[in-house]
Amino acid sequence: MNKTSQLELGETWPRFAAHWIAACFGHFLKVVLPLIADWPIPLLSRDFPRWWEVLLFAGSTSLLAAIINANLPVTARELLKSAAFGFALNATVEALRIAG
Amino acid sequence: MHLEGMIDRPDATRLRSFGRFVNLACFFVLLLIMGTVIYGLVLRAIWAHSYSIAVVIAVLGAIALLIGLAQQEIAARDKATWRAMAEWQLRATYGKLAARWAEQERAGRRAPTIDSELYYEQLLEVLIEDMQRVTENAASE
Repeated sequence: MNKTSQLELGETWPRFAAHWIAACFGHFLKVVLPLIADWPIPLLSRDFPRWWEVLLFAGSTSLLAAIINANLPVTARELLKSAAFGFALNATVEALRIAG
Repeated sequence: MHLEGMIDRPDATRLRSFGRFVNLACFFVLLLIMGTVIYGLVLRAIWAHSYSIAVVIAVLGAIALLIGLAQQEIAARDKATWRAMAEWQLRATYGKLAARWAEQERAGRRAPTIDSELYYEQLLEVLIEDMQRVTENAASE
């Protein structure tokens, strides 16, 4: 009935958590895709980051994605957007050579 | 009587079924992303064994995400059922009101317009009558 209801989605902690996890997956996708694409060459290199470094990095950058997307419902579509956001954030950081 | 405008709900169109297809496709892409990440971490775990902890965390994250999705799906379905029931009630009420006003107009009195107080008075009257009848039926059964 309310025409503005589509603008009032509302942030909740479960939504925040779900989008945070999805963004982390997107971030990790950027990290592990070279592994799969260049199999088995990266296996021989030692300069791959430690897992907890990647996890902390992913968790902190994905916070931004989670804060922005915390008002979206937890559906496959919206989670996909969060994953893409996480992927994009990692790509941005990599392009700017801030870390990684 | 613009019934459909009052109970605002989009019709089941071709675009809507296309939306369902997109939802399904997105779900599979999401599964693909999670599967790829876990597979890549497993590949790395073969080389650096400490990465098996990351594999476990990724699997737990995927499970949490899938449980969240399932819960939302169930909640959305419940809400849709309640909404359908309320709409059903409102539709029946508007139907009765329309019949009542048609009778009034035949008797020479004008039906109330949507911006008059009488309109809402009669609307609530019919709604309450319906509810009372339903509770009485439930009590007598």
